[in-house]
Amino acid sequence: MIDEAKITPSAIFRFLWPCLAWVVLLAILTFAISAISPAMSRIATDTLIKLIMVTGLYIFIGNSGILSFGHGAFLIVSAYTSAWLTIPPMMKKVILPNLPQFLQLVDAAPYVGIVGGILLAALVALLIGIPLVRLSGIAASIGTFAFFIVVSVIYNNWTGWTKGTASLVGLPVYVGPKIALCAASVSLLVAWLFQTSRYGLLLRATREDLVAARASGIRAERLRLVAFVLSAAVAALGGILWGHSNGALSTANNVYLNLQFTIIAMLVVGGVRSLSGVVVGTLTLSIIGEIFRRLEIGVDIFGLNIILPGGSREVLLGLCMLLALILRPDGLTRGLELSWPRRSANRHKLPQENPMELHS
Amino acid sequence: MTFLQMLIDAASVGGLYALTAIGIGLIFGVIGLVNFAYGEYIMVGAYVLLLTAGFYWPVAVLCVLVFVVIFALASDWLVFRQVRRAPPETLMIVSFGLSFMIQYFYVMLFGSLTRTVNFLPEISRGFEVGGLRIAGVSLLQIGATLVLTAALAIFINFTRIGYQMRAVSENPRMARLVGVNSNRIIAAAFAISALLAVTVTVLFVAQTGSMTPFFGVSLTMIGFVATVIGGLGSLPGCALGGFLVGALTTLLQMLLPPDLQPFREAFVFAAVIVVLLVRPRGLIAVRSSLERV
Amino acid sequence: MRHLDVVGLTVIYGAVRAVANMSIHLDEGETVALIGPNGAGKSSLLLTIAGVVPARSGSIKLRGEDIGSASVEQRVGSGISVVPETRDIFAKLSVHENLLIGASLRRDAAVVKTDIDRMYSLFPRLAERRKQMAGFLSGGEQQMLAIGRALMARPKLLMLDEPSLGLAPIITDKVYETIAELKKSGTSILLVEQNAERAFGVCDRAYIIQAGRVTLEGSPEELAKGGLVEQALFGRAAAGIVRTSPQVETAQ
Repeated sequence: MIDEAKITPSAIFRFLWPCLAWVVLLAILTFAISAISPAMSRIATDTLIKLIMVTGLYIFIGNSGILSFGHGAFLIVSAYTSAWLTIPPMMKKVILPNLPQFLQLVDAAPYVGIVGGILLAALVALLIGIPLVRLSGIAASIGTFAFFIVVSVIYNNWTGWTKGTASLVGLPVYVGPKIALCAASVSLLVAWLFQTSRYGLLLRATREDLVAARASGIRAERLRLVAFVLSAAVAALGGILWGHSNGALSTANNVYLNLQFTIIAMLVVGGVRSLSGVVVGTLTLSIIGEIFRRLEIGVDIFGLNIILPGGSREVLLGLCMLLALILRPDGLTRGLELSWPRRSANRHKLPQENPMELHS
Repeated sequence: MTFLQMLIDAASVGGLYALTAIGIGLIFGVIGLVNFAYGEYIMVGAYVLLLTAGFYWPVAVLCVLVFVVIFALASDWLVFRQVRRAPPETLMIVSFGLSFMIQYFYVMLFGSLTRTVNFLPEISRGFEVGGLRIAGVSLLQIGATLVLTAALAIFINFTRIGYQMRAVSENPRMARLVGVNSNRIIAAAFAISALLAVTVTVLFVAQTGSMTPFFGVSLTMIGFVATVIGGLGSLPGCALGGFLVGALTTLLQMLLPPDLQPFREAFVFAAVIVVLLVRPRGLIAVRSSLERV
Repeated sequence: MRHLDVVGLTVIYGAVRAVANMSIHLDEGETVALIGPNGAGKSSLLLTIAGVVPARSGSIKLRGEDIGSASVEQRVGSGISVVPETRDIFAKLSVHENLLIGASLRRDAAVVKTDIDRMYSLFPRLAERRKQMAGFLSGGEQQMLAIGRALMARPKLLMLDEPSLGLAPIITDKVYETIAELKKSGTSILLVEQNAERAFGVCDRAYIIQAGRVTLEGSPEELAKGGLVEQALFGRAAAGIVRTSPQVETAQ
């Protein structure tokens, strides 16, 4: 929290620094990479969208300390909602003839799809969160995972509305690097504001010592629920943009299970306890994934044509995650945030003056 | 379909689920690991059957057994032992990552399409008794479940490794302090769970004759359901949980209207959430010596 | 001959220095008590010697051989047994199995059997309850079982962590009788106690430990003289004693 007595622009800037620094870095990277080629710009967009999902996941996991294997469900719910709202009515009539009348006729603007998708995902999160936040530890992990399976089975077989494992096409493709960058920046900011807010700090207290937090009157379940809903909403934004960047949705081949695995892996590799972990983890695994995607297609290195068999990218992703968990269980960032550059040297002398520096 | 027929179907499906659930529950009971990669022990075994097609069947089964036990021990040695002291949630991600990796490694080796093998077609043939249609493999499933569950119960309760396993499960540090070689005990648990996985593999492949690198996932999921319903880590609970899930799916198959049939699995997993909320320690209050708080 | 020689041992948990540059030793067949208040680092010292808590620095020698890098199992094998403060009996194993598991590293099944019978004659209460789950035993019975389990390994060095904690006086008497008997049989014993009087009744030598350091050392007679222990543990004069002790490193 920022001290309300001295809100000056410089104080605000300092307070936001750990988040802003990453936003600036991401902006520079995005513009630099997008300038190379349309293919590279698509990669940048894809990475930024994953970053949004990871940020969403982080808002819950990072602050509450409870693992969720259920956020893939919010990606599904929000993406399809936005698709129902934004696919042009003429196409809907052909592709989804079973859609109810009012959805058939809706021809909404992209932002309506975004708002609608986020709202529905948040609502689902609220309803399922009320019972699920009572669980802790392994029960919470299994419970959220069961929830994911329920949602994914429903969308997989609800062919009249979703086309199931076939592709649902016709989504307006409006997401490019700039929109993805804006959305990612907003997500990071939301996450930062939440984690430094009263709610976020109290929730972190429950993560460190639930019994002590309860004893001092903190209502852990309510805080977890707030984080869960907010986290679902941010992840949902990622889910929606993913659909509108690819132009099609499908639940075939465990797409969402794998996507969910990927974002969990990114968070874990980066470090679940800090916002910096979100960015570091996402970028690291995206870069490694991209290199191996290239190798699967085949590249020439020093005259050698190297082609890796399909599937090697996923194998490597899994391997990176395992190595990270074994060698660096706290993630690459070890739960640390960026510190204000000039002050990092005298942190030891003045630890109490800027408590935002360390969020381990 | 008569009631008896339904009972047989439920028991044979449930037997497979029960074996899977026990394999998962045993490892969870001993080291608190929810092993997603368990499905991969089942899956890699199926591909061994694919490669040994044409061998005399006991030889093929022996090959599967040897391979899968080594595979399971290697997964413990190379991966899980490295994170032994991590909290259960971290272990769960680790096993998730391992499972994912193995699946795609098999995609690299065998492609992601369905492969078929004609393994012991004789036993999947059915015969009729008093109007009941019974497949040989169903009887095997029921029989194998009963025999293996009983054998495991005896092993856990009455042998030296059995009580050492219970000790490691209850208090790993104290077990080390009295000289129990916990790594060896844990390896034994992995080997036993691999043995159960091999049984599932053989029965499953004999029944369906097909496999993909992903087919372990759905069995693992069902196994989890049974494990949770039975009470995590309680072996008799896992066995009963497996049979219950088998009964539930058979029942849903009978009772659900056709347009809701595809959503069967959703009902099963919704049941998991309900059980976790209402009876976090399992539906069946069986107290096992291996259970973990 | 020196049975155990701990030199300059330091143990750190997170930011807490539980044991700071501590040196103690124990001769063959000797009973040595470690006396000090809660949180003084006594239990950490025992667990470090047993091998389940890593040392930051210092050396641990068993009969002249450095065991600092030996595994827990190897240490048990070379004759170290511990009865932890929390007893840690296996609640879901039967009393009999608890005794059996104490002999995990032994290969002489027949002798193990006679040893178990010996435990039952030593603690008749356990014999009555041999088939019961150990979790159902009373506190005193659990303590007996924990000691019995440790003895099943036929230890040469037995470490007991506050064996009288939470027990009724009459049961504490029984526990100390057992310790005295063990002493007679030649086992080296390292005994952690808060109750100095109790410990002095059985030990040959004692260390007073405070805040991770040895502040006093001597025979029970020496220590009991002039209320040195009381001073060390409770008195304001403790600082003066600290200064005279050769064990204490210079203040940081």
